Amino acid sequence: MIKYIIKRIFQMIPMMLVLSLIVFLMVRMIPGDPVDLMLGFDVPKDTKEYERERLGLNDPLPQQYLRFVGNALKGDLGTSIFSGEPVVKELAKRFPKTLTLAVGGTLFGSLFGIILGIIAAVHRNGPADNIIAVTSLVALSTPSFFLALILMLIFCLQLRWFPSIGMDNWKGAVLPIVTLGAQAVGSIARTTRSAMLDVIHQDYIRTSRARGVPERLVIYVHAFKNALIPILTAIGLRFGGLLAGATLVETVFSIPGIGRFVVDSVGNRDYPAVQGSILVLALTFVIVNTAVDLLYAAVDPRVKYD
Amino acid sequence: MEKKKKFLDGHPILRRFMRRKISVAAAVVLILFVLIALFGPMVWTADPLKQSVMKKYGPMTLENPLGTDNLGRDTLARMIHGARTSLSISFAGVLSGAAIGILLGVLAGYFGGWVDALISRFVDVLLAFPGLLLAIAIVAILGAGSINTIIAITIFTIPGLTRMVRGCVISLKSAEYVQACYTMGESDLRIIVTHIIPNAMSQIIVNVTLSLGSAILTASSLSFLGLGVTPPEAEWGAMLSGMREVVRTYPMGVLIPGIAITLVVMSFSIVGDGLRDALDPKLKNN
Repeated sequence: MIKYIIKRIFQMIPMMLVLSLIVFLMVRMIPGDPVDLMLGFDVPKDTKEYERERLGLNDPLPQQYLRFVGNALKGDLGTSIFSGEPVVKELAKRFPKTLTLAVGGTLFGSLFGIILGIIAAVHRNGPADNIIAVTSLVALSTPSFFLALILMLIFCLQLRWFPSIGMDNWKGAVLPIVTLGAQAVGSIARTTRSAMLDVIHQDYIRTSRARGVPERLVIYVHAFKNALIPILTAIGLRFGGLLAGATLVETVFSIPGIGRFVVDSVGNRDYPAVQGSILVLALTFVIVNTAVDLLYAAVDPRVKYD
Repeated sequence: MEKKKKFLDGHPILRRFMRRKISVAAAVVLILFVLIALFGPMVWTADPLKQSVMKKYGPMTLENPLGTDNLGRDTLARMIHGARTSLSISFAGVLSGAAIGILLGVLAGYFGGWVDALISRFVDVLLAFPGLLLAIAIVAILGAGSINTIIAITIFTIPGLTRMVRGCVISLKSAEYVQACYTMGESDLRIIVTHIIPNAMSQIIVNVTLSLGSAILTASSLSFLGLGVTPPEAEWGAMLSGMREVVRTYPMGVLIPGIAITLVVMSFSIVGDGLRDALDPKLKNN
Protein backbone atom coordinates (compact mmCIF):
# COMPACT_ATOMS: atom_id res chain seq x y z
CA MET A 1 0.00 0.00 0.00
CA ILE A 2 2.77 2.43 0.98
CA LYS A 3 4.53 1.66 -2.30
CA TYR A 4 1.33 2.49 -4.16
CA ILE A 5 0.89 5.76 -2.26
CA ILE A 6 4.47 6.81 -3.05
CA LYS A 7 4.00 5.86 -6.71
CA ARG A 8 0.84 7.96 -7.02
CA ILE A 9 2.44 10.93 -5.28
CA PHE A 10 5.39 10.82 -7.69
CA GLN A 11 2.99 10.61 -10.62
CA MET A 12 1.58 13.96 -9.49
CA ILE A 13 4.88 15.76 -10.08
CA PRO A 14 4.87 15.86 -13.92
CA MET A 15 1.28 17.12 -13.92
CA MET A 16 2.17 19.86 -11.45
CA LEU A 17 5.15 20.88 -13.60
CA VAL A 18 2.98 21.07 -16.73
CA LEU A 19 0.35 23.08 -14.87
CA SER A 20 2.97 25.49 -13.59
CA LEU A 21 4.36 25.82 -17.14
CA ILE A 22 0.93 26.67 -18.51
CA VAL A 23 0.20 29.17 -15.77
CA PHE A 24 3.65 30.67 -16.35
CA LEU A 25 3.09 30.91 -20.11
CA MET A 26 -0.43 32.29 -19.59
CA VAL A 27 0.81 35.74 -18.73
CA ARG A 28 3.35 35.59 -21.57
CA MET A 29 0.55 34.81 -24.03
CA ILE A 30 -1.31 38.00 -23.22
CA PRO A 31 -0.78 40.33 -26.17
CA GLY A 32 1.46 43.27 -25.36
CA ASP A 33 4.37 43.90 -23.03
CA PRO A 34 3.77 42.53 -19.51
CA VAL A 35 5.40 45.62 -18.01
CA ASP A 36 3.07 47.87 -19.98
CA LEU A 37 0.17 45.80 -18.74
CA MET A 38 1.39 45.99 -15.17
CA LEU A 39 2.46 49.62 -14.98
CA GLY A 40 0.38 51.24 -17.70
CA PHE A 41 1.58 52.96 -20.85
CA ASP A 42 2.37 56.39 -19.43
CA VAL A 43 5.33 55.27 -17.32
CA PRO A 44 8.85 56.52 -18.26
CA LYS A 45 10.99 54.15 -20.31
CA ASP A 46 13.69 53.90 -17.63
CA THR A 47 11.19 52.76 -15.02
CA LYS A 48 9.89 50.15 -17.42
CA GLU A 49 13.41 48.92 -18.20
CA TYR A 50 14.22 48.78 -14.48
CA GLU A 51 11.03 46.84 -13.81
CA ARG A 52 11.75 44.48 -16.70
CA GLU A 53 15.23 43.80 -15.33
CA ARG A 54 13.89 43.43 -11.77
CA LEU A 55 11.26 40.91 -12.84
CA GLY A 56 13.84 39.10 -14.95
CA LEU A 57 11.80 39.55 -18.12
CA ASN A 58 14.96 40.11 -20.16
CA ASP A 59 16.18 36.59 -19.38
CA PRO A 60 15.49 33.68 -21.74
CA LEU A 61 12.07 32.01 -21.17
CA PRO A 62 13.40 28.67 -19.81
CA GLN A 63 15.43 30.55 -17.23
CA GLN A 64 12.39 32.62 -16.29
CA TYR A 65 10.30 29.48 -15.92
CA LEU A 66 12.86 27.78 -13.70
CA ARG A 67 12.96 30.87 -11.52
CA PHE A 68 9.16 30.92 -11.36
CA VAL A 69 9.07 27.28 -10.22
CA GLY A 70 11.97 27.81 -7.81
CA ASN A 71 10.27 30.81 -6.27
CA ALA A 72 6.91 29.03 -6.14
CA LEU A 73 8.53 26.13 -4.28
CA LYS A 74 9.92 28.63 -1.78
CA GLY A 75 6.41 30.03 -1.39
CA ASP A 76 6.97 33.15 -3.48
CA LEU A 77 4.34 33.76 -6.16
CA GLY A 78 5.26 37.38 -6.75
CA THR A 79 3.63 40.56 -5.56
CA SER A 80 0.09 41.65 -6.29
CA ILE A 81 0.15 44.76 -8.43
CA PHE A 82 -3.15 45.92 -7.05
CA SER A 83 -2.54 45.58 -3.31
CA GLY A 84 1.28 45.55 -3.25
CA GLU A 85 1.12 42.54 -0.92
CA PRO A 86 2.82 39.20 -1.66
CA VAL A 87 0.39 37.03 -3.64
CA VAL A 88 0.99 34.13 -1.23
CA LYS A 89 -0.15 36.30 1.67
CA GLU A 90 -3.32 37.28 -0.21
CA LEU A 91 -4.01 33.66 -1.08
CA ALA A 92 -3.37 32.45 2.47
CA LYS A 93 -6.04 34.86 3.71
CA ARG A 94 -8.57 33.59 1.17
CA PHE A 95 -7.80 29.94 0.68
CA PRO A 96 -9.45 28.69 3.91
CA LYS A 97 -12.74 30.31 2.88
CA THR A 98 -12.78 28.75 -0.59
CA LEU A 99 -11.67 25.40 0.81
CA THR A 100 -14.43 25.50 3.45
CA LEU A 101 -16.97 26.15 0.70
CA ALA A 102 -15.66 23.44 -1.61
CA VAL A 103 -15.23 20.82 1.13
CA GLY A 104 -18.55 21.74 2.76
CA GLY A 105 -20.33 21.64 -0.60
CA THR A 106 -18.74 18.29 -1.43
CA LEU A 107 -19.74 16.79 1.93
CA PHE A 108 -23.27 18.16 1.63
CA GLY A 109 -23.53 16.95 -1.97
CA SER A 110 -22.09 13.53 -1.14
CA LEU A 111 -24.30 12.94 1.88
CA PHE A 112 -27.58 13.85 0.19
CA GLY A 113 -26.52 12.62 -3.24
CA ILE A 114 -25.63 9.15 -1.94
CA ILE A 115 -28.79 8.85 0.17
CA LEU A 116 -31.04 9.97 -2.69
CA GLY A 117 -29.16 7.80 -5.20
CA ILE A 118 -29.59 4.69 -3.04
CA ILE A 119 -33.29 5.41 -2.49
CA ALA A 120 -33.76 5.90 -6.24
CA ALA A 121 -31.97 2.64 -7.05
CA VAL A 122 -33.88 0.63 -4.46
CA HIS A 123 -37.23 2.02 -5.65
CA ARG A 124 -36.28 1.89 -9.33
CA ASN A 125 -38.95 3.34 -11.65
CA GLY A 126 -41.22 4.06 -8.67
CA PRO A 127 -42.51 7.49 -7.65
CA ALA A 128 -39.51 8.11 -5.36
CA ASP A 129 -37.13 7.38 -8.24
CA ASN A 130 -38.99 9.79 -10.51
CA ILE A 131 -39.08 12.57 -7.91
CA ILE A 132 -35.35 12.15 -7.26
CA ALA A 133 -34.63 12.13 -11.01
CA VAL A 134 -36.48 15.42 -11.47
CA THR A 135 -34.82 16.95 -8.40
CA SER A 136 -31.37 15.93 -9.66
CA LEU A 137 -32.09 17.36 -13.08
CA VAL A 138 -33.29 20.68 -11.67
CA ALA A 139 -30.29 20.83 -9.33
CA LEU A 140 -27.89 20.18 -12.21
CA SER A 141 -29.53 22.69 -14.53
CA THR A 142 -29.93 25.64 -12.17
CA PRO A 143 -26.99 28.05 -12.39
CA SER A 144 -25.46 28.30 -8.91
CA PHE A 145 -25.54 32.10 -9.00
CA PHE A 146 -29.30 31.98 -9.63
CA LEU A 147 -29.89 29.42 -6.86
CA ALA A 148 -27.73 31.52 -4.53
CA LEU A 149 -29.86 34.60 -5.18
CA ILE A 150 -33.11 32.67 -4.69
CA LEU A 151 -31.92 31.17 -1.40
CA MET A 152 -30.65 34.58 -0.34
CA LEU A 153 -34.00 36.17 -1.16
CA ILE A 154 -35.95 33.58 0.84
CA PHE A 155 -33.71 32.79 3.80
CA CYS A 156 -31.75 36.02 4.27
CA LEU A 157 -33.99 38.82 3.11
CA GLN A 158 -37.47 37.44 3.85
CA LEU A 159 -37.06 34.99 6.75
CA ARG A 160 -33.83 36.58 8.03
CA TRP A 161 -32.45 33.23 9.21
CA PHE A 162 -28.98 33.71 7.78
CA PRO A 163 -26.73 36.69 6.99
CA SER A 164 -26.71 37.66 3.33
CA ILE A 165 -23.06 38.69 3.15
CA GLY A 166 -19.79 37.32 4.44
CA MET A 167 -18.94 34.00 6.03
CA ASP A 168 -17.70 34.95 9.49
CA ASN A 169 -19.50 32.20 11.41
CA TRP A 170 -21.28 28.91 10.72
CA LYS A 171 -24.52 30.71 9.97
CA GLY A 172 -22.89 32.60 7.14
CA ALA A 173 -21.50 29.36 5.70
CA VAL A 174 -24.82 27.48 5.50
CA LEU A 175 -26.37 29.00 2.38
CA PRO A 176 -23.15 29.21 0.31
CA ILE A 177 -22.40 25.56 1.10
CA VAL A 178 -25.96 24.46 0.31
CA THR A 179 -25.88 26.41 -2.97
CA LEU A 180 -22.58 24.88 -4.02
CA GLY A 181 -23.57 21.42 -2.82
CA ALA A 182 -26.90 21.42 -4.68
CA GLN A 183 -25.32 20.72 -8.07
CA ALA A 184 -23.18 18.02 -6.50
CA VAL A 185 -26.32 16.42 -5.02
CA GLY A 186 -27.71 16.11 -8.55
CA SER A 187 -24.68 14.49 -10.14
CA ILE A 188 -23.75 12.28 -7.19
CA ALA A 189 -27.36 11.03 -6.87
CA ARG A 190 -27.36 10.07 -10.55
CA THR A 191 -24.02 8.29 -10.35
CA THR A 192 -24.96 6.51 -7.12
CA ARG A 193 -28.23 5.32 -8.64
CA SER A 194 -26.62 3.79 -11.72
CA ALA A 195 -23.67 2.35 -9.76
CA MET A 196 -26.05 0.76 -7.27
CA LEU A 197 -28.24 -0.64 -10.06
CA ASP A 198 -25.17 -2.22 -11.66
CA VAL A 199 -24.27 -3.91 -8.39
CA ILE A 200 -27.75 -4.90 -7.17
CA HIS A 201 -28.14 -7.42 -10.00
CA GLN A 202 -24.83 -9.17 -9.32
CA ASP A 203 -24.74 -12.79 -8.20
CA TYR A 204 -23.17 -12.07 -4.82
CA ILE A 205 -26.04 -9.76 -3.88
CA ARG A 206 -28.55 -12.46 -4.81
CA THR A 207 -26.51 -14.91 -2.75
CA SER A 208 -26.58 -12.55 0.24
CA ARG A 209 -30.33 -12.28 -0.05
CA ALA A 210 -30.67 -16.04 -0.41
CA ARG A 211 -28.62 -16.49 2.74
CA GLY A 212 -31.22 -14.42 4.53
CA VAL A 213 -29.07 -11.34 5.15
CA PRO A 214 -31.45 -8.46 6.10
CA GLU A 215 -32.27 -6.24 3.11
CA ARG A 216 -30.86 -3.12 4.78
CA LEU A 217 -27.53 -4.84 5.30
CA VAL A 218 -27.54 -6.10 1.71
CA ILE A 219 -28.12 -2.61 0.31
CA TYR A 220 -26.09 -0.42 2.64
CA VAL A 221 -23.16 -2.73 3.28
CA HIS A 222 -22.77 -5.33 0.55
CA ALA A 223 -24.06 -3.40 -2.46
CA PHE A 224 -22.96 0.11 -1.48
CA LYS A 225 -19.41 -0.94 -0.71
CA ASN A 226 -19.08 -2.39 -4.20
CA ALA A 227 -20.64 0.62 -5.89
CA LEU A 228 -18.24 3.01 -4.19
CA ILE A 229 -15.61 3.40 -6.96
CA PRO A 230 -17.77 5.25 -9.51
CA ILE A 231 -19.33 7.25 -6.68
CA LEU A 232 -15.90 8.30 -5.42
CA THR A 233 -14.92 9.28 -8.96
CA ALA A 234 -18.01 11.46 -9.24
CA ILE A 235 -17.28 13.06 -5.86
CA GLY A 236 -13.65 13.76 -6.79
CA LEU A 237 -14.62 15.36 -10.10
CA ARG A 238 -17.35 17.38 -8.41
CA PHE A 239 -14.88 18.73 -5.89
CA GLY A 240 -12.98 20.41 -8.71
CA GLY A 241 -16.19 21.84 -10.09
CA LEU A 242 -17.09 23.22 -6.68
CA LEU A 243 -13.62 24.67 -6.19
CA ALA A 244 -14.05 26.72 -9.35
CA GLY A 245 -17.79 27.19 -8.86
CA ALA A 246 -17.08 28.80 -5.48
CA THR A 247 -16.22 31.89 -7.54
CA LEU A 248 -19.91 32.44 -8.32
CA VAL A 249 -21.13 31.78 -4.80
CA GLU A 250 -18.40 33.99 -3.33
CA THR A 251 -19.56 36.75 -5.66
CA VAL A 252 -23.21 36.52 -4.62
CA PHE A 253 -22.55 36.23 -0.87
CA SER A 254 -19.62 38.70 -0.90
CA ILE A 255 -17.19 36.16 0.53
CA PRO A 256 -13.52 37.13 0.11
CA GLY A 257 -12.32 33.75 -1.20
CA ILE A 258 -9.82 32.84 -3.92
CA GLY A 259 -12.50 32.58 -6.60
CA ARG A 260 -13.59 36.16 -6.11
CA PHE A 261 -9.91 37.16 -5.94
CA VAL A 262 -9.23 35.61 -9.37
CA VAL A 263 -12.15 37.46 -10.93
CA ASP A 264 -11.21 40.78 -9.31
CA SER A 265 -7.58 40.27 -10.34
CA VAL A 266 -8.59 39.56 -13.95
CA GLY A 267 -10.57 42.80 -13.87
CA ASN A 268 -7.63 44.71 -12.34
CA ARG A 269 -5.15 43.11 -14.76
CA ASP A 270 -3.25 41.97 -11.71
CA TYR A 271 -1.43 39.15 -13.49
CA PRO A 272 0.78 37.83 -10.66
CA ALA A 273 -2.41 37.46 -8.59
CA VAL A 274 -4.26 35.71 -11.45
CA GLN A 275 -1.28 33.41 -12.02
CA GLY A 276 -0.93 32.55 -8.33
CA SER A 277 -4.58 31.87 -7.68
CA ILE A 278 -5.13 29.74 -10.79
CA LEU A 279 -2.01 27.74 -9.92
CA VAL A 280 -3.18 27.16 -6.35
CA LEU A 281 -6.71 26.13 -7.41
CA ALA A 282 -5.46 23.78 -10.14
CA LEU A 283 -2.86 22.21 -7.82
CA THR A 284 -5.53 21.68 -5.15
CA PHE A 285 -7.59 19.85 -7.76
CA VAL A 286 -4.62 17.65 -8.74
CA ILE A 287 -3.95 16.82 -5.08
CA VAL A 288 -7.61 15.96 -4.44
CA ASN A 289 -7.71 13.74 -7.53
CA THR A 290 -4.63 11.89 -6.28
CA ALA A 291 -6.26 11.54 -2.87
CA VAL A 292 -9.35 10.06 -4.56
CA ASP A 293 -7.11 7.61 -6.45
CA LEU A 294 -5.59 6.57 -3.14
CA LEU A 295 -9.06 6.09 -1.72
CA TYR A 296 -9.86 3.69 -4.56
CA ALA A 297 -7.06 1.48 -3.34
CA ALA A 298 -8.42 1.62 0.19
CA VAL A 299 -11.94 0.76 -1.01
CA ASP A 300 -10.97 -1.85 -3.58
CA PRO A 301 -7.71 -3.73 -2.86
CA ARG A 302 -7.53 -4.87 -6.50
CA VAL A 303 -6.72 -1.32 -7.63
CA LYS A 304 -3.20 -1.19 -6.28
CA TYR A 305 -2.11 -4.27 -8.20
CA ASP A 306 -2.96 -2.69 -11.56
CA MET B 1 -45.45 15.46 -48.28
CA GLU B 2 -47.27 12.32 -47.24
CA LYS B 3 -44.28 10.26 -48.12
CA LYS B 4 -42.07 12.47 -46.00
CA LYS B 5 -44.46 12.21 -43.07
CA LYS B 6 -44.46 8.46 -43.41
CA PHE B 7 -40.68 8.44 -43.42
CA LEU B 8 -40.50 10.50 -40.23
CA ASP B 9 -43.15 8.42 -38.50
CA GLY B 10 -41.48 5.26 -39.56
CA HIS B 11 -37.91 6.26 -38.73
CA PRO B 12 -36.93 4.09 -35.79
CA ILE B 13 -34.72 6.74 -34.14
CA LEU B 14 -37.40 9.41 -34.29
CA ARG B 15 -40.05 6.96 -33.17
CA ARG B 16 -37.99 5.96 -30.17
CA PHE B 17 -37.30 9.61 -29.37
CA MET B 18 -40.99 10.53 -29.66
CA ARG B 19 -41.97 7.70 -27.33
CA ARG B 20 -40.47 9.59 -24.40
CA LYS B 21 -42.90 12.43 -23.86
CA ILE B 22 -40.56 14.51 -21.71
CA SER B 23 -37.88 14.52 -24.44
CA VAL B 24 -40.46 15.78 -26.93
CA ALA B 25 -41.54 18.53 -24.50
CA ALA B 26 -37.90 19.57 -23.95
CA ALA B 27 -37.25 19.55 -27.70
CA VAL B 28 -40.29 21.81 -28.20
CA VAL B 29 -38.97 24.20 -25.53
CA LEU B 30 -35.59 24.35 -27.28
CA ILE B 31 -37.11 24.88 -30.72
CA LEU B 32 -39.24 27.66 -29.22
CA PHE B 33 -36.19 29.39 -27.76
CA VAL B 34 -34.30 29.06 -31.05
CA LEU B 35 -37.27 30.55 -32.92
CA ILE B 36 -37.47 33.39 -30.38
CA ALA B 37 -33.76 34.04 -30.85
CA LEU B 38 -34.06 33.98 -34.64
CA PHE B 39 -37.32 35.82 -35.24
CA GLY B 40 -38.14 37.44 -31.87
CA PRO B 41 -36.46 40.78 -32.67
CA MET B 42 -38.59 41.04 -35.84
CA VAL B 43 -41.82 40.48 -33.91
CA TRP B 44 -41.01 42.44 -30.75
CA THR B 45 -39.22 45.46 -32.13
CA ALA B 46 -38.56 47.37 -28.87
CA ASP B 47 -34.93 48.47 -28.53
CA PRO B 48 -33.15 46.36 -25.87
CA LEU B 49 -30.62 49.14 -25.24
CA LYS B 50 -32.99 52.11 -24.99
CA GLN B 51 -32.83 53.50 -21.47
CA SER B 52 -35.48 55.54 -19.72
CA VAL B 53 -35.00 56.95 -16.22
CA MET B 54 -38.75 57.44 -15.88
CA LYS B 55 -39.46 53.74 -16.41
CA LYS B 56 -36.96 52.18 -13.96
CA TYR B 57 -38.19 48.87 -12.46
CA GLY B 58 -41.46 49.24 -14.32
CA PRO B 59 -44.32 46.76 -13.77
CA MET B 60 -45.64 44.35 -16.39
CA THR B 61 -47.75 46.35 -18.83
CA LEU B 62 -48.87 45.92 -22.41
CA GLU B 63 -46.03 48.15 -23.50
CA ASN B 64 -43.47 46.22 -21.41
CA PRO B 65 -44.92 42.72 -20.92
CA LEU B 66 -42.02 41.61 -18.68
CA GLY B 67 -41.47 45.01 -17.04
CA THR B 68 -38.33 47.10 -17.27
CA ASP B 69 -34.89 46.85 -15.65
CA ASN B 70 -32.74 49.13 -13.49
CA LEU B 71 -32.09 51.43 -16.45
CA GLY B 72 -35.67 51.41 -17.69
CA ARG B 73 -34.91 49.07 -20.60
CA ASP B 74 -37.62 46.71 -21.83
CA THR B 75 -37.02 43.30 -20.22
CA LEU B 76 -38.82 41.33 -22.96
CA ALA B 77 -36.66 42.89 -25.66
CA ARG B 78 -33.55 42.17 -23.57
CA MET B 79 -34.65 38.57 -22.99
CA ILE B 80 -35.18 38.06 -26.73
CA HIS B 81 -31.83 39.58 -27.64
CA GLY B 82 -30.29 37.73 -24.68
CA ALA B 83 -31.59 34.44 -26.11
CA ARG B 84 -29.88 35.34 -29.36
CA THR B 85 -26.59 36.13 -27.61
CA SER B 86 -26.63 33.18 -25.19
CA LEU B 87 -27.66 30.60 -27.78
CA SER B 88 -25.38 31.83 -30.54
CA ILE B 89 -22.37 31.97 -28.22
CA SER B 90 -23.07 28.45 -26.99
CA PHE B 91 -23.73 27.02 -30.45
CA ALA B 92 -20.66 28.69 -31.95
CA GLY B 93 -18.43 27.63 -29.03
CA VAL B 94 -19.66 24.06 -28.83
CA LEU B 95 -19.67 23.45 -32.59
CA SER B 96 -16.13 24.73 -33.05
CA GLY B 97 -15.02 22.84 -29.93
CA ALA B 98 -16.71 19.72 -31.27
CA ALA B 99 -15.03 20.07 -34.66
CA ILE B 100 -11.59 20.31 -33.05
CA GLY B 101 -12.45 17.62 -30.49
CA ILE B 102 -13.61 15.19 -33.19
CA LEU B 103 -10.49 15.82 -35.26
CA LEU B 104 -8.17 15.32 -32.28
CA GLY B 105 -10.13 12.30 -31.04
CA VAL B 106 -10.02 10.62 -34.46
CA LEU B 107 -6.30 11.34 -34.85
CA ALA B 108 -5.50 10.04 -31.36
CA GLY B 109 -7.70 6.96 -31.58
CA TYR B 110 -6.92 6.02 -35.17
CA PHE B 111 -3.19 6.58 -35.32
CA GLY B 112 -2.26 5.78 -31.71
CA GLY B 113 1.42 5.94 -30.77
CA TRP B 114 3.00 9.32 -30.22
CA VAL B 115 0.05 11.18 -31.80
CA ASP B 116 -2.25 9.63 -29.22
CA ALA B 117 0.21 10.29 -26.38
CA LEU B 118 0.58 13.93 -27.37
CA ILE B 119 -3.14 14.59 -27.78
CA SER B 120 -4.08 12.66 -24.65
CA ARG B 121 -1.60 14.61 -22.53
CA PHE B 122 -2.96 17.87 -23.97
CA VAL B 123 -6.46 16.78 -22.97
CA ASP B 124 -5.26 15.75 -19.50
CA VAL B 125 -3.81 19.20 -19.00
CA LEU B 126 -7.03 20.92 -20.04
CA LEU B 127 -8.99 18.68 -17.69
CA ALA B 128 -6.63 19.50 -14.83
CA PHE B 129 -8.21 22.95 -14.63
CA PRO B 130 -11.40 22.34 -12.72
CA GLY B 131 -14.72 23.44 -14.24
CA LEU B 132 -15.16 27.12 -14.73
CA LEU B 133 -11.52 27.86 -13.90
CA LEU B 134 -10.35 26.96 -17.42
CA ALA B 135 -12.84 29.40 -18.92
CA ILE B 136 -11.79 32.10 -16.44
CA ALA B 137 -8.12 31.48 -17.26
CA ILE B 138 -8.80 31.83 -20.98
CA VAL B 139 -10.76 35.02 -20.50
CA ALA B 140 -7.95 36.28 -18.25
CA ILE B 141 -5.60 35.95 -21.23
CA LEU B 142 -7.93 37.15 -23.98
CA GLY B 143 -10.08 39.65 -22.12
CA ALA B 144 -13.88 39.80 -21.81
CA GLY B 145 -16.27 39.98 -24.79
CA SER B 146 -18.52 37.75 -26.90
CA ILE B 147 -15.82 36.39 -29.22
CA ASN B 148 -13.52 35.55 -26.33
CA THR B 149 -16.39 33.83 -24.53
CA ILE B 150 -16.89 31.70 -27.64
CA ILE B 151 -13.17 30.84 -27.66
CA ALA B 152 -13.34 29.96 -23.96
CA ILE B 153 -16.31 27.64 -24.61
CA THR B 154 -14.54 26.12 -27.61
CA ILE B 155 -11.52 25.21 -25.50
CA PHE B 156 -13.82 24.12 -22.67
CA THR B 157 -15.60 21.69 -25.04
CA ILE B 158 -12.50 20.16 -26.65
CA PRO B 159 -11.29 17.76 -23.91
CA GLY B 160 -14.61 15.96 -23.33
CA LEU B 161 -15.29 15.45 -27.04
CA THR B 162 -11.71 14.38 -27.77
CA ARG B 163 -11.79 11.72 -25.04
CA MET B 164 -15.17 10.41 -26.09
CA VAL B 165 -14.33 10.24 -29.82
CA ARG B 166 -10.93 8.68 -29.10
CA GLY B 167 -12.58 5.91 -27.09
CA CYS B 168 -15.15 5.37 -29.83
CA VAL B 169 -12.54 5.21 -32.58
CA ILE B 170 -10.36 2.77 -30.67
CA SER B 171 -13.27 0.37 -30.27
CA LEU B 172 -14.47 0.86 -33.88
CA LYS B 173 -10.98 0.30 -35.25
CA SER B 174 -10.95 -3.29 -34.13
CA ALA B 175 -14.41 -3.98 -35.59
CA GLU B 176 -14.39 -6.60 -38.29
CA TYR B 177 -15.81 -4.40 -41.03
CA VAL B 178 -13.08 -1.83 -40.46
CA GLN B 179 -10.44 -4.54 -40.45
CA ALA B 180 -11.91 -5.76 -43.74
CA CYS B 181 -11.44 -2.27 -45.22
CA TYR B 182 -7.76 -2.37 -44.25
CA THR B 183 -7.37 -5.69 -45.97
CA MET B 184 -9.01 -4.33 -49.10
CA GLY B 185 -6.44 -1.55 -49.11
CA GLU B 186 -8.77 1.40 -48.49
CA SER B 187 -7.02 4.62 -47.55
CA ASP B 188 -7.00 5.82 -43.92
CA LEU B 189 -8.94 8.95 -44.86
CA ARG B 190 -11.64 6.92 -46.57
CA ILE B 191 -11.95 4.53 -43.66
CA ILE B 192 -12.22 7.44 -41.21
CA VAL B 193 -14.75 9.40 -43.27
CA THR B 194 -16.97 6.57 -44.46
CA HIS B 195 -16.79 4.08 -41.60
CA ILE B 196 -15.40 5.50 -38.37
CA ILE B 197 -17.08 8.91 -38.12
CA PRO B 198 -20.58 7.81 -39.22
CA ASN B 199 -20.50 5.01 -36.65
CA ALA B 200 -19.35 7.34 -33.89
CA MET B 201 -21.92 9.95 -34.89
CA SER B 202 -24.68 8.94 -32.48
CA GLN B 203 -22.39 9.35 -29.48
CA ILE B 204 -21.07 12.62 -30.89
CA ILE B 205 -24.60 14.02 -31.29
CA VAL B 206 -25.51 13.10 -27.72
CA ASN B 207 -22.30 14.58 -26.36
CA VAL B 208 -22.70 17.81 -28.34
CA THR B 209 -26.29 18.22 -27.12
CA LEU B 210 -25.23 17.77 -23.51
CA SER B 211 -22.28 20.13 -24.05
CA LEU B 212 -24.66 22.83 -25.28
CA GLY B 213 -26.34 22.83 -21.88
CA SER B 214 -23.06 23.23 -20.03
CA ALA B 215 -21.97 25.89 -22.53
CA ILE B 216 -25.03 27.99 -21.68
CA LEU B 217 -24.16 27.62 -17.99
CA THR B 218 -20.51 28.55 -18.59
CA ALA B 219 -21.31 31.53 -20.80
CA SER B 220 -23.89 32.90 -18.39
CA SER B 221 -21.56 32.30 -15.43
CA LEU B 222 -18.77 34.22 -17.14
CA SER B 223 -21.13 37.07 -17.96
CA PHE B 224 -22.48 37.03 -14.41
CA LEU B 225 -18.90 37.48 -13.16
CA GLY B 226 -18.40 40.35 -15.60
CA LEU B 227 -15.89 38.32 -17.63
CA GLY B 228 -18.12 37.31 -20.53
CA VAL B 229 -20.42 39.40 -22.66
CA THR B 230 -19.87 43.02 -21.75
CA PRO B 231 -22.65 45.54 -21.00
CA PRO B 232 -24.81 47.00 -22.40
CA GLU B 233 -25.20 43.95 -24.70
CA ALA B 234 -28.10 41.77 -23.55
CA GLU B 235 -27.10 38.35 -22.22
CA TRP B 236 -29.04 36.32 -19.64
CA GLY B 237 -26.17 35.93 -17.14
CA ALA B 238 -25.25 39.60 -17.42
CA MET B 239 -28.92 40.62 -17.03
CA LEU B 240 -29.15 38.59 -13.85
CA SER B 241 -25.94 40.11 -12.56
CA GLY B 242 -27.20 43.62 -13.24
CA MET B 243 -30.33 43.04 -11.21
CA ARG B 244 -28.91 41.13 -8.25
CA GLU B 245 -28.48 44.24 -6.11
CA VAL B 246 -32.24 44.80 -6.20
CA VAL B 247 -33.28 41.17 -5.81
CA ARG B 248 -35.37 42.04 -2.76
CA THR B 249 -37.35 44.92 -4.20
CA TYR B 250 -37.54 43.68 -7.78
CA PRO B 251 -37.14 39.88 -7.81
CA MET B 252 -38.56 39.60 -11.35
CA GLY B 253 -35.33 41.05 -12.70
CA VAL B 254 -33.47 38.00 -11.41
CA LEU B 255 -36.22 35.41 -11.82
CA ILE B 256 -36.91 35.92 -15.53
CA PRO B 257 -33.37 35.39 -16.87
CA GLY B 258 -32.63 32.77 -14.18
CA ILE B 259 -35.63 30.65 -15.13
CA ALA B 260 -34.80 31.01 -18.83
CA ILE B 261 -31.23 29.74 -18.30
CA THR B 262 -32.44 26.84 -16.12
CA LEU B 263 -35.14 25.89 -18.62
CA VAL B 264 -32.78 25.86 -21.60
CA VAL B 265 -30.02 23.97 -19.76
CA MET B 266 -32.56 21.43 -18.50
CA SER B 267 -34.05 20.98 -21.96
CA PHE B 268 -30.64 20.33 -23.52
CA SER B 269 -29.99 17.76 -20.83
CA ILE B 270 -33.34 15.99 -21.35
CA VAL B 271 -33.02 16.05 -25.15
CA GLY B 272 -29.45 14.72 -24.82
CA ASP B 273 -30.62 11.83 -22.65
CA GLY B 274 -33.56 11.20 -24.99
CA LEU B 275 -31.25 11.11 -27.99
CA ARG B 276 -28.94 8.71 -26.23
CA ASP B 277 -31.82 6.31 -25.59
CA ALA B 278 -33.14 6.73 -29.14
CA LEU B 279 -29.79 6.38 -30.88
CA ASP B 280 -28.51 3.54 -28.77
CA PRO B 281 -31.43 1.27 -27.90
CA LYS B 282 -29.07 -1.39 -26.56
CA LEU B 283 -28.04 0.96 -23.79
CA LYS B 284 -31.64 1.41 -22.71
CA ASN B 285 -32.43 -2.28 -22.74
CA ASN B 286 -29.47 -2.98 -20.50
